[in-house]
Amino acid sequence: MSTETKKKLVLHTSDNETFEIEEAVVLQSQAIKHMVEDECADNAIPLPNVTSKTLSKVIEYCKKHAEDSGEEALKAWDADFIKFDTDTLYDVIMAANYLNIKSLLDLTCQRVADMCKGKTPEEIRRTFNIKNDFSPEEEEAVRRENQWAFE
Amino acid sequence: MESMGSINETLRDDELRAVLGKLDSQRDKEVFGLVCKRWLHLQSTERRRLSARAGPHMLRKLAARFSRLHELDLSQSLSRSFYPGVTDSDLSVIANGFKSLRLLSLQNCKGVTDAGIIAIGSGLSSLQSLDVSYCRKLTDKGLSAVAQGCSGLRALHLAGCRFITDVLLHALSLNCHSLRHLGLQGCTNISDSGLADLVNGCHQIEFLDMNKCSNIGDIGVSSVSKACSSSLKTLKLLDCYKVGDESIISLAKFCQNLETLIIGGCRDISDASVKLLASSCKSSLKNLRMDWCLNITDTCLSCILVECRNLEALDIGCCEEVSDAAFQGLNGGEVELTLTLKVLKVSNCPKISVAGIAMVLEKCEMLEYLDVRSCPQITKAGCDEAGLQFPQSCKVNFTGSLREPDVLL
Repeated sequence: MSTETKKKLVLHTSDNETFEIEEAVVLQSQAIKHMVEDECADNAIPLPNVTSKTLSKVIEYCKKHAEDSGEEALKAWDADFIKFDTDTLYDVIMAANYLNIKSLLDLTCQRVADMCKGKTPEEIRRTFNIKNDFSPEEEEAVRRENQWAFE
Repeated sequence: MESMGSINETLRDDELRAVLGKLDSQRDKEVFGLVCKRWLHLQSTERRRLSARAGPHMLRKLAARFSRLHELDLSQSLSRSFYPGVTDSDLSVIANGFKSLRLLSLQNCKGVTDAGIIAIGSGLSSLQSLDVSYCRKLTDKGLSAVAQGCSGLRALHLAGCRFITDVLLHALSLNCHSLRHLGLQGCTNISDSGLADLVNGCHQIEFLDMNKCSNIGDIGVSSVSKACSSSLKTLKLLDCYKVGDESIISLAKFCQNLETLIIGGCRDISDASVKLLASSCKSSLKNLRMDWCLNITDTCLSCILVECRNLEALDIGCCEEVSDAAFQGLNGGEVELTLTLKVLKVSNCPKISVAGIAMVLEKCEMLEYLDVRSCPQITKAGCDEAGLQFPQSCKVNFTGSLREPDVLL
């Protein structure tokens, strides 16, 4: 077992923090992978859209998924990992989209979708703090249209 | 209470669409659309397919909401129809409102006339598939407008549109070179020269239904087989009594990808041509209907069963000359001969007996449906007495009470 020094990449967040992470972990981000391939990644990679709080969550995910722990174990870990508050959830979704990490984007969007399933529109509005901008007539019109249009 | 950020202020459209994409049930998607106007817009524009029962007012609203629709199904049926049904003014709304439409089904919308179809032709240039089966008022005039306006047309279904003539086939030949599926069942005015004209421009036809097009004969079929030799997979010629051996020989010569052939009622067809076909299409042929082909004998049937290794459905009803001897060839020689046959129809074959059926059953482990109606030598009692073992999921029709499988229609 050789202890070769693995290449590390430096990531620079919007709130001026730097993270030094192993290349193999970070390359799960297609966006960063392209930067490395295009040789724009010698100095720190700037991430103006991602805060340090969010990036640490993303890196936690990428580190776990870079290991070879087996599908079942990984699924169980994901289910536990995803239990953050909605604000953090939105931030991780946007970061996963920005950094182009498909599996993380799928996981987080699935979480939001699961929070919508089986609920009424009002319950969903309360969960996600959404203002209802339908008038009662407009809402009724949409419901009627849904009756005419089916799969 | 902590102040929670709003999802609508944080996530962008493509992220919300990703969430919508994770909802599976139609109900959940509808609820998503009822949350707020932004979510309604995302849900509506994501929708690609719609079936509707709607008059012009509701259609206008649906067009405004589901603006990126690709498929619209307004087909009627005996159980699902309403007064006054789809009208020409509805078609104007559709032509103006659903600009991305690729597939439109108007099956059984009997109120539709040329005026409405002309609007479809001028408005929906991306249309690839149109089903106007049983829209009986339509003529060449309306449908030629579709041919001219929708040059990317790939599928056109006109069953029961009996006013259609060779004029439409000419229009298709000029404009719709991507045509792959054409349904002309019951279009009795179609002739051989129209067919020859059609395949002059349309070389990629895969599916051609000319059931009951009684004017079609060998010249027409031969022109199709030559022009569409590599693409033709399904050819239906039910009751086209002018079709004879020359057509079958032509198909054998040119169309080695043929999977489904319906020549029921083509009384002049005889052994020699069918044997050639069996040999030529031995790996491709899956469905063969030749009921009422009175000249077919045991040697031909035996040849089909032995050569066509992928045959799944066979109808030789009313082929009076066929007897048990046809099945004897299955037991001689090759050890490995198991047939893939799922549907076998031998109704009205007086010379086939329980012994013949026994030979079939020995080789057909996958049989799902067996039709032995009006076979004087085959009765339920007779089969039970002989101890015949039918495969577990096989339905046997002795007296005509079972629902028939669609595959050979």
